[in-house]
Amino acid sequence: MTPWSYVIYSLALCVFSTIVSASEWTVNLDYSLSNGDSWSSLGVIVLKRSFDGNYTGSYKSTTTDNLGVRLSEAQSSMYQVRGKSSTQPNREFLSSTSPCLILQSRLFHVFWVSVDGERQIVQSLTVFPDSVAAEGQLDSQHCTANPQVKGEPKAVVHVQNKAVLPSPDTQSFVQKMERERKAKQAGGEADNRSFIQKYWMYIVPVVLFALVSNMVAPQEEGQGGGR
Amino acid sequence: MGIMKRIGIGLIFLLTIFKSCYSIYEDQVGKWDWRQQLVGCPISATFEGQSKAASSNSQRQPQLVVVSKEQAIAALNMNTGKIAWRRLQEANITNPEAFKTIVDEKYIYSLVDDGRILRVWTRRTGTLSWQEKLEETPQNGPTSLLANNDEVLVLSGQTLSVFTKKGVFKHKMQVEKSTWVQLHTLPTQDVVLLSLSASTLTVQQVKDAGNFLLKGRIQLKAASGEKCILIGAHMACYHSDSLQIVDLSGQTVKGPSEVATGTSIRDLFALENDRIGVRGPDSVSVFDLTGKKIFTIQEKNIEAAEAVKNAVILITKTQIGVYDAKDGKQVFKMNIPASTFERASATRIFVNQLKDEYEILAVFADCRVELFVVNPGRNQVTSEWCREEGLARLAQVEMVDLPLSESQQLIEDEFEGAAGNIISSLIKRCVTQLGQLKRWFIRTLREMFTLSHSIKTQVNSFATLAEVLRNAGKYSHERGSLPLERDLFNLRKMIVASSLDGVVYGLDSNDGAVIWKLQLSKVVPPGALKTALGKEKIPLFVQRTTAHYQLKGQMAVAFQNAINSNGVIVLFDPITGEIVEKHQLSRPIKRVEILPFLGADHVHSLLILDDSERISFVPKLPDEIAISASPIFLMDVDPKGNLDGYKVNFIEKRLVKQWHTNLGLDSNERIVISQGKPAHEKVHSQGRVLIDRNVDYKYLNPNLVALASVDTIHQQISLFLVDSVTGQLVHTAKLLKASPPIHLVHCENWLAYAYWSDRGRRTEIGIMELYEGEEKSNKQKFDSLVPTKTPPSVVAQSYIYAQGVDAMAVSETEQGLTNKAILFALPLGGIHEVTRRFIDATRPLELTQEMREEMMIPYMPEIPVAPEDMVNYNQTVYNIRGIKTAPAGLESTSLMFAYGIDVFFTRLYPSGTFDILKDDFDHLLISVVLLGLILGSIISKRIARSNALNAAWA
Repeated sequence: MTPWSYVIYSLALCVFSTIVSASEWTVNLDYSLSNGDSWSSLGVIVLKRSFDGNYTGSYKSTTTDNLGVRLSEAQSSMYQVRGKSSTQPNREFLSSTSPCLILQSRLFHVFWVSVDGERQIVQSLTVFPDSVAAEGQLDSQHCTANPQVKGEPKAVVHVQNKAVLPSPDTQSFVQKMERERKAKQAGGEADNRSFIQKYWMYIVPVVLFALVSNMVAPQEEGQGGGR
Repeated sequence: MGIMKRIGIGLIFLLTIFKSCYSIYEDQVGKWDWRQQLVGCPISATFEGQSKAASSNSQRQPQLVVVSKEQAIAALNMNTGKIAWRRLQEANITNPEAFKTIVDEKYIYSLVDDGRILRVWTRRTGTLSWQEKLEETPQNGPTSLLANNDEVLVLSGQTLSVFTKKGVFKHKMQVEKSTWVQLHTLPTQDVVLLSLSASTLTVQQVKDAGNFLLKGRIQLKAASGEKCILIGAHMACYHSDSLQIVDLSGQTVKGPSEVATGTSIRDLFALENDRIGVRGPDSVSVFDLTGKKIFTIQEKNIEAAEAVKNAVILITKTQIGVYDAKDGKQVFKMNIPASTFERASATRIFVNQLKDEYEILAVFADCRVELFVVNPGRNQVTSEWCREEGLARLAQVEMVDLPLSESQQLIEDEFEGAAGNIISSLIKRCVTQLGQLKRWFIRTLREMFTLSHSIKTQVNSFATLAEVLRNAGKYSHERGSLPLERDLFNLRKMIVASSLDGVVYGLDSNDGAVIWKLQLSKVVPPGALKTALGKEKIPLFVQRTTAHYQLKGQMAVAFQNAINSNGVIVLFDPITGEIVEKHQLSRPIKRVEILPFLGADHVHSLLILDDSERISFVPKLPDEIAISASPIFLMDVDPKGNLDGYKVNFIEKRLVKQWHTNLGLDSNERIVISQGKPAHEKVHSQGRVLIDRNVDYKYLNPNLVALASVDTIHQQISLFLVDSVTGQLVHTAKLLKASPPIHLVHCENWLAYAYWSDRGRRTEIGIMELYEGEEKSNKQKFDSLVPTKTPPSVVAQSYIYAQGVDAMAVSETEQGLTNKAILFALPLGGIHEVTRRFIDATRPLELTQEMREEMMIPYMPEIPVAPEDMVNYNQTVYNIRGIKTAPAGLESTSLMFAYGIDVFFTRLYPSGTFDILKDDFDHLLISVVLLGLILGSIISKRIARSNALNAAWA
């Protein structure tokens, strides 16, 4: 490899990394078990844009205190999570769930983040317990908490990007019509089915008719013979 | 081309034929449907001048020209009150004040569409004589219109345009900006332009050359031109109790001369010989132009007053009075004849003087229009006709089941209660069945009597006898002969509708007759509540259905006191319209919702949130129910995209904030619609069967709310699907190059939306369907607080719709088994029913063999609009604002009520009448054939036996 190619590679890497870092932002998470009176750090969600334009999110825990113990101590209160996006410094996103559900799912969270990728803003942030990690079926009204949950909170981040709705697909419909017209002009597509497969709907009535008339005919003959 | 394809095309062809079979036959017209055409709440009425024309041509019925708040110009037949002709103007307007009309002997001049178009109609037939476009954009300033002997002057925007009477443009000139303008012809035939801005009246003479001559500027007490009238060369304005008169006749304006009237003035009216009538609450005084009082008429609680040639007419709550215009002496005074429903207070009267009678058209606060004829000579007042024009201003509609009939109640009674021993239940059964027999006997007797009566009165030949006998069944089902009770298939309902003027109507769904009418507030004017998105509404809630047959049904309506904005809740019986309870709240209502669970006496309580964020319940929620109540969540939306979720704390009666988010809307983007799902929706099928025999489960989240925001600058519409319990934004999407009007239908697992596409310059309809995938997360019930195992997937598609859309709704059936149909109210007057199979996000472009077997419909970009799909066939209905659907007792049938300036009711059969025998099903023929076959088989059996015997002997 020549030195020039190294330069080109490193330049490309530079450009790539700037693109990636430009389309990456973070959402800082805090939690409260005291109805918003005091907040503790929960973690950070890093949102990254992949090549296809979709966003993926990953969660890193920054909590220092034992979340499991705190949750089981405050089961009657509400587990509130507050998010602050690095791109919208003066906006807060608030979500809440019951501590019991998080304990049942062994501190496995699901963060549902809805973003407008084009404008790099968060539209909403919702916290859920992860039903995959849970012991038994999760039910918000009849929750059975596991008080001996320890360790760091873990989370799956689901990022929902703003989609674009389709407009009527006239183009492919016209193409389809055109294709059909051409096929018609060319004498139709080759039909590889066998004779019976093709014309069974004509054959079956004929066979049935023949059968029925056969069944009737011997009786008539029998009667005729009797006379 | 394959045979299957041919069959497929044949099938589609057959389907189209079947579709036309769903449409109705000539003899079915009006059988299940009815329509009422209305003109709207009148703002002015003009009588035909002394019926001169009527005497020359006795065939011609005299007409009354009415102009309404609903932008309609119509002529009513004076004798019957029926609409002779009606011309609806552009209803989608922003400045209702800009609508001006002038009626002269031959023509009606109208300035319509926010002051953009001048239209001239012939008075007799309502045909358009000529029209002229004045402005491109809607005008939000004041407008004025004047028709002279040879010119039409129109002021719209800041331009005064002059046309000849034939519609030829003459010239135009610019006018200063002001808050009120009026063009007026002086007795000298000079035209003056009066304009008022910040209590300064500017008077300018309009010169023929196309310029103005300033006649003067003066200060007035009245800040609004609505408080002024013009009499000859004078202008009179009032402010609390003082009257100011301005003389416009000279070169410069003189005045104002001020007169203290000593009464708080409600209204002014003009009398003959340049005199001013001043109406106070308990008196009418007449002044001359110098301010001298001529006479005063004392009368308690005068609601409206008007003058004709030589009389002053007053209307009070109960009486009509006629007074001599010269000296104020009473000519006649009499009670107003009683009406079926209690009258609201009169807001305006219009009077016409005939030879020895007066015709008085009274407009009441509930928009009821009634024509009285007063004949002082014969000393009588007759009510000729009345029109319930409030029906053109409906705000919300509910359809309520009628109570069980007596026989149905007996059946319910039979199976009610704990099972006793055999003998007691046998006795119970015998008693109830005897009761049913008795009832049947009485009914049959009554029908026989009616029939014999109609034979006696109507029959004069054999043909009419046959006709009467054939119609015997129909006659007995006419209204009046039946009590208000549920029919066999629950097809007859009570339509309860609230109007923006504070009236609740009870309509019979059989024929649209007003059964009862409830004036919400007689003392203070009722006002509509405003939603967070700025829409006016008077919400109705069904608190107890008639399903609990021992108890009466109960509904609630919420509105506000128009004076102090405090909330008022009225609880009433939906069948009789009787008020059960009235709650005056001490604060304005911020939000009112109905609780999904039952409180005491099987009543769903209302949850009322006032402006201080306190919660109350009407009726009160018992403590034991409040403690065990299932959690209730509320979501608040504001137009800027701030969403907040709350949980109701029933014990402490407060809201607990659960979540908050901001949708990050652009600075000029606003949320315009929020649409939840129908409260009692039943979904029959939990999934969609795929071609590979797998099931794609529907994402059936009952808490899902659809929001639509509009960005007019970037021509973009965004749709948001929010779970109102957790604030989870399940899906967001944007429509590029799209603008309002936008309409949403949200039900089951799909959202259908109609919008204007700027790119295609056409209306398009989109559909979004949500699926959970091949595994269902919550098998028993949906739980918003627990996420689905896989995120819901969204399938979307859109279609071209060759018509505009005024309103959109979806059919609703008892079990949700029948295919849904989406209803579109079209601006051209049709109500188009489109099956959901057409508006489907999963229509494939290319059909495979398996798809054909599943009878899937291939994708076509356009939704066909066929005339036979119009459920209202030729009964066009206009300016439809909403469509209410309700299930009937039959699964195939859905009931539909569309309301706008017209109201229309019909039955829908979205999947055909699969559980109903056809109307023309020949019971007789079937019985005859069956009997014939039985007889034939018996006879042939005998013959065969005797033949066999004969053969044995042979």
